Amino acid sequence: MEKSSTSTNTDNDPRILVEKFQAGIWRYLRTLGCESSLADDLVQDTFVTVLQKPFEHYSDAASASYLRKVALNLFISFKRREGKVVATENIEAISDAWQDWVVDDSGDELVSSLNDCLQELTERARWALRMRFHDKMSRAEIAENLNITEHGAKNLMQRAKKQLRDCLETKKQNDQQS
Amino acid sequence: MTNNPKKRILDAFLREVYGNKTPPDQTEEILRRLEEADQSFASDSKIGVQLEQDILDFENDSSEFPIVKTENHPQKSMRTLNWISVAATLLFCVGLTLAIIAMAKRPRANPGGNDNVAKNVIENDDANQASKGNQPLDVDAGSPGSVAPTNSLASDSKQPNSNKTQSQLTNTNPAKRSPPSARIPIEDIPSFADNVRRADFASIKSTIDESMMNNWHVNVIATPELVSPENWMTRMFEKTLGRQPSTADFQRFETYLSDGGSRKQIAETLANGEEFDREFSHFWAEKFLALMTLKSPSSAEAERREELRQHLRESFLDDTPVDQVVAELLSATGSSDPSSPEFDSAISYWALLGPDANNATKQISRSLLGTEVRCAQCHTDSYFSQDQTDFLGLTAFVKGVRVFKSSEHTIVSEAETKRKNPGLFYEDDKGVAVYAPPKIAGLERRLNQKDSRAGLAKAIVTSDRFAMAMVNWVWKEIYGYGLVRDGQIGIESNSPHHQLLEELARQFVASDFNFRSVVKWAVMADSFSATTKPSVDTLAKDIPKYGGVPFFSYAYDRIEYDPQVALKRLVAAYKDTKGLTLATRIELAAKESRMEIPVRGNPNDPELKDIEFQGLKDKPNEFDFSDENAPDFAKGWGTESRMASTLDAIAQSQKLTFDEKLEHLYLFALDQKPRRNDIKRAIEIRDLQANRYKGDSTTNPVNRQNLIETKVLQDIWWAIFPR
Repeated sequence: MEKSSTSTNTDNDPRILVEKFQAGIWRYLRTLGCESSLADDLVQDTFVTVLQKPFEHYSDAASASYLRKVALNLFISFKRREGKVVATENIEAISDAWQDWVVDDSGDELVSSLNDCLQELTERARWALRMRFHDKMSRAEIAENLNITEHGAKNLMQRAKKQLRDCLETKKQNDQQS
Repeated sequence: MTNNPKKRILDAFLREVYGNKTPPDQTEEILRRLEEADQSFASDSKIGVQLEQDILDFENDSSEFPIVKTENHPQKSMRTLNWISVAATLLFCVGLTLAIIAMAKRPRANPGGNDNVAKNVIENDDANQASKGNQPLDVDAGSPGSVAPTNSLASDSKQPNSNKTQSQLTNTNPAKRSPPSARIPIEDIPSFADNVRRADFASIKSTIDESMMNNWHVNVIATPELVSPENWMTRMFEKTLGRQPSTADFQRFETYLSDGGSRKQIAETLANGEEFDREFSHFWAEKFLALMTLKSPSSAEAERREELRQHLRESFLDDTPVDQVVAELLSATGSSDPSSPEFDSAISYWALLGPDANNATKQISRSLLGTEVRCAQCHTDSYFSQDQTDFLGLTAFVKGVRVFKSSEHTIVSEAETKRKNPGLFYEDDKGVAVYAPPKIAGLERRLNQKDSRAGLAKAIVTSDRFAMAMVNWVWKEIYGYGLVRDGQIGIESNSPHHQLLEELARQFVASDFNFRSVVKWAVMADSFSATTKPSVDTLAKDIPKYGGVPFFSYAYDRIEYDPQVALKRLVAAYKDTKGLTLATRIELAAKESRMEIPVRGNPNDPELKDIEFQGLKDKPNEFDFSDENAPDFAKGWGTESRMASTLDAIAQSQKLTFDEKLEHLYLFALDQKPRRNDIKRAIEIRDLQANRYKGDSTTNPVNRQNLIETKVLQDIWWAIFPR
């Protein structure tokens, strides 16, 4: 891998690095289960930790990966300080899946694709997801609003998510082919 | 929580899309924090940065410069001032560089030490300051051309970062040294135990019990069940005399066993009774010997070790206060030849420490001050909170001893050091020579080079760390773990027992350094009567053998194990087609690595192991046993966060090679470098792990290599960490 020059490459400018990668790190932390306010703090801590020492930008992928690793460790340390044990059961798998899906390292493209895919869902499925993720309703409450059984609500959301995953995969493949 | 990674990503993004919580732009806040951190770093730095900052301040703060009349010609004055400041700085730098080059051509003052040119400049500066009476130091002026004795510790020791050539040293930045911190004359250093009144036994016991109880409450740990009187008696004898009680002992103390209050009589008899005096003294002399000397002495040193053993036995039998015992050892001078008029058995201590001043420094700091400085020999160590000035500050005293070994005997005397300055020098990351003044236990101390070891002995035994180290040592011998983790005495610690340790240390000093008292306090505490079988809930919180904080809520079984065997089993586990699962890791830690359990009552207790496993199995939400990718867990269940951070720093370092990381890991866990077979096995494990990623094109190669090494190193630490 060709190493970029530290002195000339503008990617070594802290401001550019922060602007380029902060959204991706924030979303990655949210994926790990961080509350949004905690994700805000840990994003700051991540960059402060990394940029206090000499940092060499090899490539976007390498820098993003390194920043995610630091963010993960800070997250684990935070949980430890709280006396909680972190379930790290799929960390590597999440990292791999992240690299597979979040091709632009920031996640903006995935958000855009997701919005498109949501339009392909039925109104009922979108409504169920909205109640789940926006209104933070329990499965029983969703079932009650949709006048279906709790099991039915679960199936509806699972099918919707499966459809979204398939849609995102298809979009990614189309993008790669184009 | 779902185990499907893409599902988790999707959920997170759906939360963002529906929850309207998008990533905030924190660029300005991050840059502001970075700037603050930079400023903080600049104010903390010692030399180069300080000079740079001085120059910057000088240039930026020109309006306050008294010569310039800014009110008349502000612009011109400003320009003039800048030129003046730049010219002055340049002249200063050129002059200093020339001076350094000129001095570099002079003969070196101490070829075996770490003298260098930059050091001479600073030495002269110090000497001038001292002559002006600015410092309370006794500086022995020495001849620049003098040569250190070849057999002294000074000549044999290798200083950190001292491998640069003279020409390289002359090229170092001739930076200005920041003013020395305020030095307190030794006479003025108040003892931490001043004005402490000696408390009675009941009061001290109450302090210990309350402290333990408070920690159990805070951490929601069940109050321990008590062992039977017979088991308590057995434990008492094992911990204080190193043997089990005989039938006659049981008969003799039967009446005292009935209630807790009377048991004090048993402790009193074992620790102070004439009948057990010899047994008690010999047992604890053996333990003190192990504390004071290196773990594995060579066969050639066996004789010296035996001499020291006898010396300690006699001292303990005479009930000599521990501070006096230690002071005698540290300041001993003479010969090991019994027929010599200068015979002194105490010199065996220095003979066993060996000729390397660095090793002696590490051993003295570890055993007598309870502070680990092994990492600080080369770099600032955040885990043990020590830096090179701490290491070299103590080494400056240790260099004052000369150990001469003949074929039969050893002679220990004062080394004729001719250093101009009492302290030593090292080079920082930027190649700048930094002066490390004589320092013991975090405080600068006066060093008289003609009799440095008397100063060493006095400074050590009057240090608060010494008293705490002694109490912690006794506690560790009795409970398996100290009140504070090894090497962390006196530094900022998150140990919940630190306050108790300080209080006991004060009482130890108030009791004239009588270690028998500490033994009695420890065995009469309620924790000593705790059962060996903790509840499942307790095992989730009180697990020092996995790197957690000991809360002494049950009797621990320290496991004698062989790290090499543990590593061998780790290789076998990696070769297993199933891979290394969490369950395998627990197996490795909980029983596969144990060879022998010396504590009576616990050997291979299947019930205890089942309880330990149950403790994990009862937490399905926290641990997925089917998952093999759990680098965090590999650090140890309950591992203290500071220790985990240090492991991360080693494993994820971008400066170190895999071999260097492994070496750091071994030094951190075991205080020893990995053997050739260990390195071979570690590489085998790494390759096995790498094979599992073969053909994987989805992961970034750099990231993949980092992940592999991190995971492997954490697993190795998990296997070799002393339980």
